[in-house]
Amino acid sequence: MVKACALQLRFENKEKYIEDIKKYIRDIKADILVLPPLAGLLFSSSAEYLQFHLEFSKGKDFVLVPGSFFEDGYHKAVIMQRGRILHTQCQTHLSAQDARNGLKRGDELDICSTAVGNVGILVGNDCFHPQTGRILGLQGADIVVGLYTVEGDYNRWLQLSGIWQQVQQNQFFAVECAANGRIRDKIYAGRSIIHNPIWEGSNGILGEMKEGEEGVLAAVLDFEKRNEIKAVYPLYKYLNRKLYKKEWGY
Amino acid sequence: MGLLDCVVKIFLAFKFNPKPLKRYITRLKVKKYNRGPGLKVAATQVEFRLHKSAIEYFEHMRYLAERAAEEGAQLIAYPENIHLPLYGLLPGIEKKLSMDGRKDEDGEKIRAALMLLGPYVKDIYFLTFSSIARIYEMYVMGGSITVPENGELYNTAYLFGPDGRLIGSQKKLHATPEEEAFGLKTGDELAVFRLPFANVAFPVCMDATYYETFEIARKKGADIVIIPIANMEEYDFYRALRGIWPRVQESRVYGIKSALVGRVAKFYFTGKAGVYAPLDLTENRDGVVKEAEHYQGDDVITAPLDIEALRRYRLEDELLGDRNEVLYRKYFSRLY
Repeated sequence: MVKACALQLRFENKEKYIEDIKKYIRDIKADILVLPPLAGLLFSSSAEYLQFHLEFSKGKDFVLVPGSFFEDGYHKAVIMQRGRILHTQCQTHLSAQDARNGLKRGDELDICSTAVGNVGILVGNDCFHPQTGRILGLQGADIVVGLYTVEGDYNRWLQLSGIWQQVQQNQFFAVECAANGRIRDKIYAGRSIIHNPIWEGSNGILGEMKEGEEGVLAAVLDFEKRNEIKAVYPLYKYLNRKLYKKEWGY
Repeated sequence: MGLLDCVVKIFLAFKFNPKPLKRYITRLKVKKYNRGPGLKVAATQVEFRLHKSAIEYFEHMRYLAERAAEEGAQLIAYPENIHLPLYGLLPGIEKKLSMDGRKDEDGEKIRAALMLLGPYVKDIYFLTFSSIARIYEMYVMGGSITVPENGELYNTAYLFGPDGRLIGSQKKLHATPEEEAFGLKTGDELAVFRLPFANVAFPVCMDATYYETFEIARKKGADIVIIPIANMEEYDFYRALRGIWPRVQESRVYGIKSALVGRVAKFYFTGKAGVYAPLDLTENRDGVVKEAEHYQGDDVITAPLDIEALRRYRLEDELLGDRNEVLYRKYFSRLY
């Protein structure tokens, strides 16, 4: 059993963000904690942002994914534990707006072995591209962290068309943390959701926080149940590799 | 061939004799319906009932087509395993279907039964759906049937043109564990058919669990992907949301889902027939153009589709226009 938490905040400025971190997660009991994406934009530089979170994670046992930040033209996220960066992930697919903003995309998408299992990250727009979940899943991801960054009015259907469906077709857990509030004149809305592959009595959502709300979302990830689902219905066993090879050459 | 096999085959040839149905269809008088401008499609929800004759089966299917024709549909889709109601022609079948056996034995028995019955149900299936297509001058995706081909079992769907002629077929590409147990073979080709109003693909049921199916369909130019289903599970909104709905969102196609529903013996199928589109092309931005109100009972869902609007939308796609071929090649070449 793994206790997963996501902190959802309304962004205003760095000071409020730091206060919120103190307020909500000073004594948190979690195995993996995900902080809101785009928080890096509240800091003067990615270095300052990373330093703050490295300090925060020192002496703490949980695996920390402290949102996302921009560096060298990439939209990035990291996995930290006890003051050390274990893994860095860049966004691999750009929205049209990302492209207009001159963002670059990464060409790597790997999992990281951690104390809570194999963890991968989908940054921003990546959640809508099913190839990303498949790549992480086939590498053996147990938990995928989704950093949901959609501007404008909230649409739950749009959000479900992202990570929720990636979980269903890849049978991993996902801890999705959404950006909310205003950052640099853009307004974001989304729900933090902890997802599971559907099993008896579950709709694939272990916990959900409404858009605009603030606080910690927590859920227990039952690996036994997940493994049981995978054993009864091993989706990857039935991939039609011959067809894919013929169509794509890989 | 032993004497018993011979007797069984004579009996089946008698029970599944298509001649009475042919005569019935020849005498049938059907009203002609006018179609309005624009494309309208229909998804059927078919209640699984064991029919006692091929004519009863045909009338069940025709009744649904007639409703679609009344509403001006040019294309109609039927569900997966649409041959199952034809097993009602076998005496005592309901009792047989209620019996539980050991699972490994079940697989062998199911395979033997499907291999034996396949050629007979295929004849009735072809006669039924090619006739419906011709009578109503519609394109008919007749749903899928699990029948033998070259000594192997496939779950195959067929498309008929408005003249009743077979346009093409599609073998199921991804099996389920249950199908694997009785040795179902999967196809290794996804076809897209160029119809006058749109390019159409029709993979089968479980194929919609895999995004790869729809990605290939889209790459090959599909505008509409039809998914015939026969889901043996209790209905649940989120369980049913998996499959065609997310695939339509990812691949930017229209989706048509036709569902076999109902309970016969230990078989319980649920699902809602529906027509789906990318969120931005639906009134409520929920990806649903139209869907059956209930997951049980016969129904026909008709909906207009704007293929040009879909193609324009793809060109202006803000969210999903990007493809990272470098990434795919690097990872999938070792992970698939």
